[in-house]
Amino acid sequence: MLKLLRFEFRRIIKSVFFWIITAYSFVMPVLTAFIYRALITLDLDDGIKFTAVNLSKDELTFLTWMIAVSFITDLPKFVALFTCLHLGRDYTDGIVRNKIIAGHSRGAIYGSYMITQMAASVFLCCIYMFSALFGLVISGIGAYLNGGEMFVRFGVAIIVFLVMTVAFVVLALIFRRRALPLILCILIAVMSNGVGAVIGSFNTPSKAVDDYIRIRHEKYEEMIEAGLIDEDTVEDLEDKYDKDSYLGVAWKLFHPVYVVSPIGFEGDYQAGGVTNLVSGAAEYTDEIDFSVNFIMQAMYSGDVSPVTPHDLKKVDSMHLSYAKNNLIYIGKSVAWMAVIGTWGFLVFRKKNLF
Amino acid sequence: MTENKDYVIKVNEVSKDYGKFRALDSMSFTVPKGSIYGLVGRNGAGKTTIMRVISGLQKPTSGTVEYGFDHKKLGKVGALVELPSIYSNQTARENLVFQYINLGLKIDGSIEESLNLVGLGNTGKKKAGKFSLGMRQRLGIAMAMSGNPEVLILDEPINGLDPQGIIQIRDLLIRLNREKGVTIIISSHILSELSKLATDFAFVEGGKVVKEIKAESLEDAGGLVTEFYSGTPERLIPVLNAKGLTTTFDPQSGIVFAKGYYNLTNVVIAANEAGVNIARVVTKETDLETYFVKLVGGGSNA
Repeated sequence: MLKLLRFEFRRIIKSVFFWIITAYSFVMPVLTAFIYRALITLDLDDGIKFTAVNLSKDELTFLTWMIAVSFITDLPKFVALFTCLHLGRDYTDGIVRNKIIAGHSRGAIYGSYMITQMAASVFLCCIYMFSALFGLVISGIGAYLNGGEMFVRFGVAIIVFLVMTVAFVVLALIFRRRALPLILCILIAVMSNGVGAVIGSFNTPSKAVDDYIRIRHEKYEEMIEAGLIDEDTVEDLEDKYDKDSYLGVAWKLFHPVYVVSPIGFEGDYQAGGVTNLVSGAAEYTDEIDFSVNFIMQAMYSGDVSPVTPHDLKKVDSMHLSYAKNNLIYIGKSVAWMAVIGTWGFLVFRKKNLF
Repeated sequence: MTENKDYVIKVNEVSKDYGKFRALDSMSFTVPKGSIYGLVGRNGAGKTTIMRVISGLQKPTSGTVEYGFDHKKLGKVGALVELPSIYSNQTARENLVFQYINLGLKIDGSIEESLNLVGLGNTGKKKAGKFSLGMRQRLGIAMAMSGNPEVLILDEPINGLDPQGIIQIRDLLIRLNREKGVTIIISSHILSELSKLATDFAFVEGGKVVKEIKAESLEDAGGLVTEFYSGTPERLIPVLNAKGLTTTFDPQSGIVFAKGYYNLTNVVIAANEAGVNIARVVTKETDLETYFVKLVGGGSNA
């Protein structure tokens, strides 16, 4: 196994494409930092001028996170391409055959590919992340890592990224035709951004909806007692804005996917870059606050809900700390890596691929 | 630890099925240590499949392959099956470095020695992808040779080569066999070339070995037969025997049949000196191809 690892690491080090991606991982976040520097300090009041950077700590924390974690949306397509071309070459050039003939077990060969590709992914993510921090600092914006806590979330992001890498490796190894895994991997990489954001938006737990409806009912009761609303109106409103109106068909479809997979990372961790800025979810918080969903929905619907954010503040189901969510994502990611990796191994071992 | 056995590989009743298609049907043969073992057969007879099974690329559906050495030790089996397995975007040297790492060998001067042995010592920075087919084959052999294998499995190593390339590969294989004692299992469509190399043959047909024969026995079974027409056969026969030929005489036709290879000029001079007049000479050669066709029947689609 060690010989194969040495072999594969040498191949990666000698790969021109790998170093191109590495260069991209270094340049892109630095460039992004400078673009943000220009955007947030651009003053067009009197010609084109740039003012001094004046960000609050919260804004700086979010910007640091947003730019540095962008590897999770930016790198998958490159890693997919690299994995398929790099491992594909071993098939087309017959090197996998060489390894088997030399006497290496298929398990060792599979393991060496998996380990080295995962290591390459971690390396690229780290380059991207540290380049982002470097770029933020040299662009004059500065960086704030929330007392180092942000590194834990970077770690979670890398582990989620590794699930994709494992999937790419498996796809690259189980098909004899070389074009198919390439298409599939690129498709996964490109779609992961959008799908991640969509799936992540269905993160509201069922219990939170139950609690919201219960609290809303208590509030309506108080309003009825105070003579502010009559019982029939409340009944109509509660019928119209029942649990199903909050958790529709899409929720029923996508929430299970969200629960069992790490696909919702982008939504949960606001790792969607500019998407988050546009959607207004531009905060680096200590917890995921589901109550926002209810307040927002009430605001944009006919639900004249008397529930305020304050009422939901101490409801457990409305909040999920990132400390807990980190563990959930690590658990889900490790489980998926094990499932995908084991399935890939079984196919690789049995299928006549060489 | 290398076991002291007189064979390198013993194939016992090996069958291989691909779905409903039976590629190997209880195939059995034994490869003697130090031999150049030629596998002869038509397309689809099962030559490549058995080579893939022996080299570990495929598992047999049934039957076993016994190795006369510790085949689990890295690099003890070298193979060039179908196409040479080399990185086309790397140089010859770099390819060998990769193979050395693959086998856990120390990267030292032996890489240059191997390159020189296969005649690729002067390829420098040229990428293997730009090599001619012959150069790629030779690099493939050099890679298969890394780690001093006990057996070298070569599937059609001279396929597509020009005459110069064929000669180079042939010379290389003979040298490896004689100088380094490597046992070679080889298949080739070019039976005339195979006959110049192999010391043993297995004729494969329908996934089975229908005949195993040593090269000498093949010569005995066929080889060159010459018909000598002479008015004095009783005086001609000792002359031919003195030249190492085995003779038989057909009294009815008066023809002397001589088996074996010889220099015609020397025979004619010797006969002249013995006062024998040779009226006519007709040669008929039973070569590997003829033998194969006789054995399996049909066209020589080997």
